[in-house]
Amino acid sequence: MTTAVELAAAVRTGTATARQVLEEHLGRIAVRDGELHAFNEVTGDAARVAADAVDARAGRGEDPGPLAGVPVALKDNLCTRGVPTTCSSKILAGWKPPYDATVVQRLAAAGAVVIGKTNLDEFAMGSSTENSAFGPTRNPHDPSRVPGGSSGGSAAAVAAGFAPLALGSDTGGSIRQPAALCGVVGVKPTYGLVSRYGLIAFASSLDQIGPFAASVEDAAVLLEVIAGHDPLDSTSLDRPAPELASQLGRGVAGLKVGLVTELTGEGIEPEVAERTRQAAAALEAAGAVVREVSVPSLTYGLSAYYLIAPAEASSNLARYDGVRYGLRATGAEDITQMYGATRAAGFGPEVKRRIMLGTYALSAGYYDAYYGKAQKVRTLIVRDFAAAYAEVDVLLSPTTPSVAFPLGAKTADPLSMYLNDVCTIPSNLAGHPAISVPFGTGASGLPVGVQLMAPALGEATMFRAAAAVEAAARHLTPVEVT
Amino acid sequence: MALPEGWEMVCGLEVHCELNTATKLFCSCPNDFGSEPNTNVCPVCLGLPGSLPVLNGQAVELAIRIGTALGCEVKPSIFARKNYFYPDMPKDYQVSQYDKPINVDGFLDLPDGSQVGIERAHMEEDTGKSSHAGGTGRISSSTHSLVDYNRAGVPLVEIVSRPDIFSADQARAYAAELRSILVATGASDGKMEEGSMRVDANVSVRHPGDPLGTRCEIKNLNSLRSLVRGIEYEAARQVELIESGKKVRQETRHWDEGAGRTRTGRVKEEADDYRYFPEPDLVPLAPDAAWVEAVRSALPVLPAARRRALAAAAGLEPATELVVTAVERGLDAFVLEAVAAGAEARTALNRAVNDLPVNVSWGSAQLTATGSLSADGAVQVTSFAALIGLEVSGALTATQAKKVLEALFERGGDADPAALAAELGFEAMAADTLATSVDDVVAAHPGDWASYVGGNDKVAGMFVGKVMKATKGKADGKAVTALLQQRRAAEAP
Amino acid sequence: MSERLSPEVVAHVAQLARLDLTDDELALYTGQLAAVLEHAADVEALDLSDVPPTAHPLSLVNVLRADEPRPCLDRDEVLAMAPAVEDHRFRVPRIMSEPSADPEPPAGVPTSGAPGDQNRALPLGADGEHR
Repeated sequence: MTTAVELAAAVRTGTATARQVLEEHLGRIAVRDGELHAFNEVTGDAARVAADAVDARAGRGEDPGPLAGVPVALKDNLCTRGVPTTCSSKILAGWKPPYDATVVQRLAAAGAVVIGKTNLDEFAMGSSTENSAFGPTRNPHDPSRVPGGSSGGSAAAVAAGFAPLALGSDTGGSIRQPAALCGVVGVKPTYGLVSRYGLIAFASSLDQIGPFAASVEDAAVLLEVIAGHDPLDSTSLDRPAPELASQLGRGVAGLKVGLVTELTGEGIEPEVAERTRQAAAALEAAGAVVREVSVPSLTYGLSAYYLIAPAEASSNLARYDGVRYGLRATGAEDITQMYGATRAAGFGPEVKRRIMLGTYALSAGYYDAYYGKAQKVRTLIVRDFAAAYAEVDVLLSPTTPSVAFPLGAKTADPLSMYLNDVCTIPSNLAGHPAISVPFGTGASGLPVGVQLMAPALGEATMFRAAAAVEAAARHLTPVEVT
Repeated sequence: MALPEGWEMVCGLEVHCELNTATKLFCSCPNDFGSEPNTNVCPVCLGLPGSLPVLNGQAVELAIRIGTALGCEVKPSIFARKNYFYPDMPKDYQVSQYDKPINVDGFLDLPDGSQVGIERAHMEEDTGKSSHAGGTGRISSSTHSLVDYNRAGVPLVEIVSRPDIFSADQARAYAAELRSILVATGASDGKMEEGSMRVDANVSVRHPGDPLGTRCEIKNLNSLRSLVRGIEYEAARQVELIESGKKVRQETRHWDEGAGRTRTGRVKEEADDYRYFPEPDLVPLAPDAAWVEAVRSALPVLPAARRRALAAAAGLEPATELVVTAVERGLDAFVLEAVAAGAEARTALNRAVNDLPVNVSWGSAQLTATGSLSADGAVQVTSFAALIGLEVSGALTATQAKKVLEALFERGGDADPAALAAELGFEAMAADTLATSVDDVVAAHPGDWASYVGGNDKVAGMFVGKVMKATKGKADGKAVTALLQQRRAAEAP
Repeated sequence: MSERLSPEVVAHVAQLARLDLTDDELALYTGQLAAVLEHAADVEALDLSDVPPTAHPLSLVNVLRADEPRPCLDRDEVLAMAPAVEDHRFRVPRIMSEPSADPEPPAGVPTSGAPGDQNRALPLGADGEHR
């Protein structure tokens, strides 16, 4: 498969046109997306207009940008002007934002071509993309299995070759977990590195937009394009986008890597734990110094997350009330009835569950025991990470406890589904960057991902380590797309 | 209206004021009153999915002005979300400062020498406006409501007093003084009629020395007059309830100006549970000391000092009603400029406070940079000073001066008061003509005159009246009295 | 803790969140929420009295915008999104009561007491520092 970097180079040098590149990808989508359902909407016509514009610029001798003509799939919780943005929820079905998310503007400025909006767990709440009002997405490696979630559509789109690049959002692992399950690279950047303006909020203090790609280098280039200060997001860091791709070749000699004790033992499937240890060995072979590191408070991360994220979500999702946009239930006699009926009809079970959980966690009498306590656990995790990073440069763990599981396997038991996020959540709570890199397959032949974590703004180091892991993975059993 | 013996009213006021910014609190939509519905809206203030707030620095500046003017400590603060569903709130939460407000622990000195504590003055966003359709316009009879989000996100500062207010008049004085400060600092235009300053009163009653009683919050107090009437009514209602063996129920009540009473608002369906938590889309606000100091040192002269200056110029006490009212209405600078232009201070003060057209004297009067008082019309300070000069010299009677003042406002600009007086037929009587008239009247009533010379001042009024009649009202009463006194003095042994 | 999570409490929470639930949903969510909270018992049991809360992963402070107006959305575009419109305004069904949140301190907080008196101190950043 051609990488995004290669495609952009071809378009910029005139050896390919953006239109040709686009049509190839649209062709793959036409063949297989009926089966996989990665996309909620394929925006072929708009994409052709955008691709032709890129070709026109190239034809005039202008630089069409670092992602010239590269198709990019967008998670359907990123606002696109005039194009339905649904969050895979009935409550927003048909709603067309009157504005573009900042990342969408940056993609366009870089010459990328938006090819469509991808499926997700409703409002990004889930780990399997089964919580979509429009039906689940299937894993390209085994369509009887989930692609992970919540950005399952974006992960599947890259894994299936529908787009070389995709954007997702990661609140507790929603980029990294599906990346691991679909065998692609997924990055959750440092909180504040990428503007959230136009990302439909799930949990504001945890949400971060990040790239999916087939290679570490492609992910680095995409992150360079979308990162950087945005005055429309108060939580955006006022610093230039980091240089990542140019650092990848520097290797890992002398880099200190910590294998996280708490995330390699109990609860992790043996095949995944084994691959993680192999990745540690591969880094060591490449010159890194690897040791085991304990980050004790990580064990509380899951509990803290499932109090904080629903609490913020319960507030963020209050606005879907049938007044200004989206669904409104008919027949209500007064506004209170209308609210209750609209939200009952518009939200799916998982969203309702989390709104209830969050409302409860914030409500009078329980705030201190739940939300307040969870915020303090966050402090413990930040402190423990700081102690670990005093010893090592990056941390290594599995991305997920298991490989992709069959559709329906965990839908009846929300808690078992939540446990999928145990390895990914801590980085969100701390606001740190983390990346999932494919590292071979498990016993079942399904992809395994390993996670590299770094302190805030440690992306450059993290990507270097990721490139080394990626290089080592080429010598493992290759993963074939079925 | 006083409470029965042995009762005391305790009141705290919550004042919401809209800040004088160009844009809203968290987005760049214009902060304009009176635009076409739903034209000053964007993704942020409509609460569209994916939008994010960014704090307006000028709103912070104005909030600090209010805080420093009220002697508050300006502290690091955080915004919180106050969660509740209501259609005029686009996000179904209000962004407001909760347990870490920007301004705390201030005070306001009132003209009568009392001091009211300020608990806090925090920043928050305003809501949109609902109008209730299909009925009488009241919420209870409506069939549906219509929402305009132009006001949603307009910056507010809510100033919460301590329960240090013990009479309706004191509440009025507090609100008026606060309004003067808001206007003087440029933080808000303080217009109660347009809702840019909204006052809610927490009222309770007790026997002096007892703990605070159960309070009711009175809303819909849309003028200072309503504030006084509403508080007086409510305190009396509570005393009556308690004296008849009933209890005051803690509730929100609405002042009905037409009916002259408060009415119970809603009975809450559920306990309030706003689920406050820190607004994760905003970062903490921590104005540094240099910023706060810069704002503090740039504050304009505040009403208390203005009262002292005006009082000194007029030879009065600062608490004199005339002085208090002049400052309250923002007329003091105009009066002082007139004095500087040669006008006699007390007369100028009197005319400014008592005889300006109502629309000018309350609320909308502004002393412009060019030294004119403008509202619907405009009057140059120099014209005003010239008019006062005519009155003081006796060229115009008080009654005539008031009419010329009225005409000055109608005409506006720099009209010459002497010319206006002439147009109105107020040619001042020549001094010798007046003296002749007085002589004639005295001559016609020798008995009364003898009585007056003998010290009976009561007949003076009769003489003045006769002179007025003889001169068809053109005489200046004061001038006549002065002439009578001169004559008496000359005749006295 | 699950004894706190009676169906009555869950029903109250649903009402606060404006979610109409069927009886079946109410029963389902009561059980599922109890299970999640059971898992959170590890957190609930921690003694964190000396630990400051982290509300936010950043230590940013004073992010401010210039007070300069920018163009608003086109009204027709805005109203076209709405389920119901009348007279250039958003039309909603009858409102039965005044806003349930008047600008007043939360229940239980006397006017005279600072809101901070309520035993619900909200968190600053983990390090408590401001840049």
